[in-house]
Amino acid sequence: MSIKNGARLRVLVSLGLLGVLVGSLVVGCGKSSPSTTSPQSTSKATSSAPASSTTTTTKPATTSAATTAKPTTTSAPPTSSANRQQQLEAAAQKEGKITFWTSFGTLADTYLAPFKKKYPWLQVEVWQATNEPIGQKFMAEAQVGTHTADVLGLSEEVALAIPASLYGKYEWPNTTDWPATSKQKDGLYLRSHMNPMGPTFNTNLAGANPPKKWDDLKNPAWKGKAVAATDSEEAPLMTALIWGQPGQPAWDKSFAYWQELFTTLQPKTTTGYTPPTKLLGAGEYYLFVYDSGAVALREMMTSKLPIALLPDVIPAKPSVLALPKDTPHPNAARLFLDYMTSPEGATLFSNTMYSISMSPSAANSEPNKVISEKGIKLFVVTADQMSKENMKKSGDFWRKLLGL
Amino acid sequence: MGNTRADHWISGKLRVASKGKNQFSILFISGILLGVFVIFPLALLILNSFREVGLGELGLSFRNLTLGNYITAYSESRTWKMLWDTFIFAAGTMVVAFVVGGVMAFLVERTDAPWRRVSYGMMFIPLIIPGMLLSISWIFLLSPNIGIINKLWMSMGFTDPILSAYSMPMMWWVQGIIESPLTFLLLGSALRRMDPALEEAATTAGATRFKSLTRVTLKLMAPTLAGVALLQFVRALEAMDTPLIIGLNAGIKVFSTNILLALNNQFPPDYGLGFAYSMTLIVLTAVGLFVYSSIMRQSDKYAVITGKGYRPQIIHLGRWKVLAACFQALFAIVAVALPLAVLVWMSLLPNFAIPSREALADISLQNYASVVFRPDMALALKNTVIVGICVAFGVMVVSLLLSWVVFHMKIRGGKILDGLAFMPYAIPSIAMAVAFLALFLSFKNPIYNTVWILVIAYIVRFLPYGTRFTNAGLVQIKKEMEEAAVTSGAKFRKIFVHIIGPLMKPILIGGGLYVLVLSIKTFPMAVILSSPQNIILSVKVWWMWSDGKFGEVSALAVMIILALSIITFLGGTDKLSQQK
Repeated sequence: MSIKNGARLRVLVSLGLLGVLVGSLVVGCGKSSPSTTSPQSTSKATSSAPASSTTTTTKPATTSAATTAKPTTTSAPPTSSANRQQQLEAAAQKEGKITFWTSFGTLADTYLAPFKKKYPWLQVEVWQATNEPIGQKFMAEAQVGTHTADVLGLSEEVALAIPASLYGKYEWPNTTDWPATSKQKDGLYLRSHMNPMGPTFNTNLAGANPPKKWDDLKNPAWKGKAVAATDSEEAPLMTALIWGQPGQPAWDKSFAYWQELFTTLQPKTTTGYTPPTKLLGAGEYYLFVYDSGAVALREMMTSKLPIALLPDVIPAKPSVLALPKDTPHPNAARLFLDYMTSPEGATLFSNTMYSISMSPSAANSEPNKVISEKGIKLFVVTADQMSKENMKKSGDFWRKLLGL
Repeated sequence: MGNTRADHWISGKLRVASKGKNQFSILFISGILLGVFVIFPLALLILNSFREVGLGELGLSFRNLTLGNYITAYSESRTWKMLWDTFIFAAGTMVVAFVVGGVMAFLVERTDAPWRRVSYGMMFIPLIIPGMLLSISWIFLLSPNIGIINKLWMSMGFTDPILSAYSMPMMWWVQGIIESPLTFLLLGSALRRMDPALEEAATTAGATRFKSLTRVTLKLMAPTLAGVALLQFVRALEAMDTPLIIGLNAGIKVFSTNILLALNNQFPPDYGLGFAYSMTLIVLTAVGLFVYSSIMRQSDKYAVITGKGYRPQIIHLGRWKVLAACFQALFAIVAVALPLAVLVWMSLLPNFAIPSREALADISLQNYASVVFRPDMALALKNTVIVGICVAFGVMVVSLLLSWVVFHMKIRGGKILDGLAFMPYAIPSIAMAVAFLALFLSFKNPIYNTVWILVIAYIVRFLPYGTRFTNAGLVQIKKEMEEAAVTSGAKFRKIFVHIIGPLMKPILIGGGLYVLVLSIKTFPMAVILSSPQNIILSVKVWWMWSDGKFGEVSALAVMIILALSIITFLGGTDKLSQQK
């Protein structure tokens, strides 16, 4: 009898397991990707903006995002500047919350302090992650119609990978005097600030004649004392752009330069930007052949590390602010973007995050001043120049150089 | 009893005792966990390794199928060099972890060596320190340019550094020290439950203590040793910290480095290529599991805990106590105190600096204050406590049930369950995280974006550890006590609560502590599954690290070490007192 029971149980269990396995596959298979049209390949934004009169179902902070309600109505945003602020505030007060997804670092509380003070009735939530997880999660949510992000702050590379249909239209009222290069052609997002990238060196170890030009880096005395990061795959593209003509990157010149630099210096390989920059400052390396300027600026300005950026033309990569199409709190999101692009918000952001603001009003922020004082010239990279093909060509060459 | 008819009858009775709702629940939960939470990520990984797939395109889709990822990953000669380096790294790490963790386990659990309680707590410290920070600490100690030890050495007139941080032996050492707590806990649990009668019989028969150790104790521990070897080897294969911080600098590239570079370090991320590399880990894990299963096939013969009592005998070291004390002191100084001193030093400074009079002037508790008063720290701490406790409890309960189903109930296909429970180990975090994201977005639920999604994800992620602990523990327990309970009419729940649970208590505590620490410091999955509501400490630490706040990360690590040392010391005290 016991054996019979055991056999029956085994069959039952086997069937149960089989069912679960099949079920799990079915759950995973029932998905389709969102439109693969990216802002880079489209010339038309397909979204419509939510409005001040939008009625949204605001859920408590602890409610699952999987059950988030979408805005129920949409209409044109307020156009009269006199009424705009009032209308936005009234509607945002009903929404009660703003969720900012950002890869801009951990100091949101500092640069958002005036915003929180101005709108104490708004609950400000910040989700910090690196760029790829933000893109991954944003698109995964969009696929199933869940929307938890009100404003995105991320690198332009990832912004370009997100389908254009997922962006909302925003009027960017505070950016009328911003340079044309700050505007994405379809208005899908705003290039709010830039992070300089380029070689950094230890000023104590560089000696009496620190490098001033890219060619100065090919110093045989620094053999074995330099470091290169796996993350710097864009470096060959950036120098090709700097040394090329508009629309014609100088690939050959760039590749030859990096090849010669690596042959001369035989740099060690590392990963990430912060640890090697710290080690550079501590004297472990003389030169970081392509560093994150934001990290370097931060360390130069806050830690007083003996490091400096190469005072030549170096690339600057824009980061962007964007409004998702289906933001759950469209009015609060607009107030937030208004603040981030205001002279006060842009300057404070630049000073807090050690990035170069695109806002003319923030021209006197500390990082902007340091760049100017050190004689560093920034080459602002455009979205077209960072095309998938260019990035791949650059990345393939870089990985080969590093033996990866 | 072996595989006799009586044994089958008792097995049948055991099944009957546990049949009905209880057992079906166990199997159903096992099926759900393993079926949905393991097969789905595994399928995602395998399928996408054959796809050209970019950001936002991961899923169970058949679009853009290609063999290109495998051709890229395995057609170049440097891949085979990398595979060889990976093997060397994994093997060396395993040896260091085995020697350090094994000897410490033996001294703490089976001998009257001094400072056993301190040693027990100390073994957790390398586990608590974030791996990246531990690797950096060793650079600050042994870099040829700025290493404190090398600076001291060269200040004595030597021209060359005593050791270089950038070498394969240092990778073995650092990673081996990181892994040694796992060996310590697994072997320690098994050693503690060794039946002294068998060793005494060997000694009575004329065997020396060494012979009794090698011929009896170690042989009886074969399942545990196999489990530890498997875990350590696979852990070393997938280790990231040491290969990235030390290995890359030394020009040594291993598989995990390339997986990380393909998945995280380039844009757009090349998921297909990263997953194609990961398939090597899956295959190696499967081979390891096959060997492990072969050893476990005759698990009955390793059972040492019988109904007659099993209290292990403490070995009196006599004059060898001095040697034992030296080993413990050496471990304390080289593996714990040195990196810990660097950590404390870093936690007191705004920036890393070689010890000097000027650096001493900069010392402050600012980093500690910054950590304590960081926004959201209270929420992160609360969430971390919830996640840590629930995951530790969940992993050990599910593991115990799974191991019992596999080794005591011996249902058909049980080994497959065990294999599936081990697989999350070899699946890259990004594949697991994306799979969980897709799963919990696919239906309305109150779990997404809360701590519970992290709890579930971590339980699945850490099952491989839990099951190695419980497998090793359960095979040591003879079924005769359960059989006696069955014949006395005990039901499934009673057998578990009154027999299996108490006998497995030390294993469950040890494994639970290990999983607790892991869940506190593991972040790659949490980064993508996190939200403003479910932020946990490890994600905060990752962000502090990314922002260059090494001082604050060090301060937090020191505080966690203090807190967990108290917990483990209390746990260890309780456990060691049971030996008396």
